[in-house]
Amino acid sequence: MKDEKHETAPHPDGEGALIEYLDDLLHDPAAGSSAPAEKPVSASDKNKLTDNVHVFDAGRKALRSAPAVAGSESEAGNAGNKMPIGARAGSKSNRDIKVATIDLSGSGLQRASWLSPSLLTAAHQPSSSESKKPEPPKTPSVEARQTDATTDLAQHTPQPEPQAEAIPQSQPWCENGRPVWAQKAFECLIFKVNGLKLAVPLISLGSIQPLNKKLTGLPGQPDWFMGILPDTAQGNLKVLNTALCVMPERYQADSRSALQYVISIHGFAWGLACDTVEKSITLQPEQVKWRTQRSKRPWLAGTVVEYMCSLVDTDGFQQFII
Amino acid sequence: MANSVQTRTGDDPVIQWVTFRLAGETYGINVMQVQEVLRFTEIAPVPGSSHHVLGIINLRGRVVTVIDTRLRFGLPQEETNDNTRIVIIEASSHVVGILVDSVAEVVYLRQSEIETSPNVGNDESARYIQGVCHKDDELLILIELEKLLTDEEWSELDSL
Repeated sequence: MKDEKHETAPHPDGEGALIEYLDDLLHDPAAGSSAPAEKPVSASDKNKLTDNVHVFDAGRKALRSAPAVAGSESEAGNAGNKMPIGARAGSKSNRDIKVATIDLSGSGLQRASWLSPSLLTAAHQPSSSESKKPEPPKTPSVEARQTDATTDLAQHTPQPEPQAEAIPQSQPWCENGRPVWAQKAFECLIFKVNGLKLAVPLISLGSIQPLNKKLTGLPGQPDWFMGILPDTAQGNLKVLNTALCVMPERYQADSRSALQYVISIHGFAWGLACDTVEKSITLQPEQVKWRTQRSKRPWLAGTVVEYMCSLVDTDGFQQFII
Repeated sequence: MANSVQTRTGDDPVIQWVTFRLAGETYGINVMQVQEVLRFTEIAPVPGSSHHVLGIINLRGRVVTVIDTRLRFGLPQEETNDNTRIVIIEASSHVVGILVDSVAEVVYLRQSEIETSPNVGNDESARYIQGVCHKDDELLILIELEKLLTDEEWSELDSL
């Protein structure tokens, strides 16, 4: 398989790095599989990846071409700000995921206030399947959040933040080699950093913050600690350089300038910096090649060949950074 | 904290902090531990001393050790300029000077405004960070001076 990697034609941008990295992960001797049969990374898989990249190129371009998302107070009144976020259309299959464009005419704080409660709520909701219709909820559900994604945030009254909860205890993995949250279909958010695609389970998601404020660096911290993002919906957020954490051997220092968002994890005071937020997907547990030994890369729950991404174990990440 | 200047507002004491700048960030130290602030003066190096010790100065007949704060914090070195100051502090029964880029002001912070230090990395590396506080659109990094050096390093200063 290693030879195949070298036979593959050069990939544009970070795609090559992604495929190389996933190839390494999938062939890590420490990695085990609970999936019935390992699906090799075939040319068709790589083509699918390329297709997916193209599908979301439009969203990414819109993201980069959009004005700085509500960064300063002077921008707060700019009604033209738009922030594309990968949002799954409720009845569509994963392949037909659309990039929703959210009108951000409010300030960054308003948007953060909107994002955070809904995403925090998602952490308490069971993963919704595609076929389920939203019940009239007293609190917003995952589907409700996706519906809200098309609404104008300017008309959205900031909701009071839910009471912060105690840091959840690390959830043990079940005997079938899967985490508790992956016993049935679960939803993930895919994001990209330094060419690498990562997926974080929605149940672990806190909020998404634009990286548009100065980070306060702290002395004596590891290299992967970028600093503190002040005054977010979740207070002061410790921002981790995701690429440096997960693949220090391939980290390129100039990639730091591409970081645009911080994905915070529910229950923890840290967030993962990323280049782009791509989309949310629903995964069946069988689609994931679960790792059986997570001592080498505790942050890695498994890999998803179909989407060519690595699934993040947030509890493992917490162990990694402490 | 026993020697802090505190103004009680209910159960939420107000503490004064002297702030200084270092590599673009603002740090705070308890005002009660600050004896005086000096302009940069010639520092006499001490052969054989630890790498974080810049040297000694003569402060009205008293020898005071000056610590290279940038080096201690793992920050890149920079040339001194007109804003450079030596802050004379008292910590762990020692009077030492710390070299900083500039001294800013004295701020009043409620105890409740101070967040605990971030819990990343190993505890040893950030032991001297007491907490952070959001003030005037920026984060202050509050330093616990007693932990700026280890017990052995404090003791070593006695031999200089």
